[in-house]
Amino acid sequence: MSPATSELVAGAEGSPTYREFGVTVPVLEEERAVLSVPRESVRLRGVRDSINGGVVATLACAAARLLLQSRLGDEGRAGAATEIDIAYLSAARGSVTTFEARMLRQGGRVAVCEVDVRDTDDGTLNAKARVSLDIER
Amino acid sequence: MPVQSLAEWRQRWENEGAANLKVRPVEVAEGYAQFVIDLPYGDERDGDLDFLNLALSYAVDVAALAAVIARVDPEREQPNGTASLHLNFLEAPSEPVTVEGRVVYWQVPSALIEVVATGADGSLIARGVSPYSLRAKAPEGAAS
Repeated sequence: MSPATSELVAGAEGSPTYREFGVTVPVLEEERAVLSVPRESVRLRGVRDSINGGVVATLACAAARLLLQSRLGDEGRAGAATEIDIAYLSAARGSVTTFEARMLRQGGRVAVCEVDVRDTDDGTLNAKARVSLDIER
Repeated sequence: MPVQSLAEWRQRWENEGAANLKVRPVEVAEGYAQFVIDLPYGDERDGDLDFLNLALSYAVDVAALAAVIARVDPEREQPNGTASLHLNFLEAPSEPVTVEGRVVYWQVPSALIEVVATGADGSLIARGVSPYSLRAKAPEGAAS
């Protein structure tokens, strides 16, 4: 990672949301951002003791926001998520769950990302999300 | 279904994780549930866009689920999980937010829940819909 990317990752991992769930960022590149979350650190549980669906939605938004901020650099700020559309395909019950965000379209004011949520134990796709974010300049 | 007493219902939704988000259960009726997020936090969480998203998304999720549970007929149906969520975040909240889940369509195998989050002045904070998966229970004595 470049120094700027490392600084961005350190800032994210030190934020209240990432600390709350022990979120780490194993990958942050031009094309994708990956968040990793150990299930044991998530107290908010859902069906069949999985990670709560609201938490899954939030971390999908967080992965998208981190990717956008990385791509913007000093030229803007990744704003709040304005919309999420998420399909829950299977309960997120793996020991570690990853959230992989890819950019679908980055415009001047709005960006749209796609996020895959997977169980790292067996690669099962737990959820698929599309997230829209504001860009502040 | 017969709805639990309000005290029992609130107890069901109170836990350490929800308390950390300041999300608390308020009201329940058939096919309806209401939660409140007691913002602001008064610390660094107020400036964290992801954390505000977390509180809203969690409250939306549990409001939808609680509305389903408050509607399901335990002798004929059982909840099977949230199928999807479409949610628009309209305003960043800074004051207490009321989050309501309401069953607007009910049919096995899929119900539809409307979720609405409003600020203290009635302004719309977030709005969405969430299809929820249901299963029919086999009649007692029937072969499975």
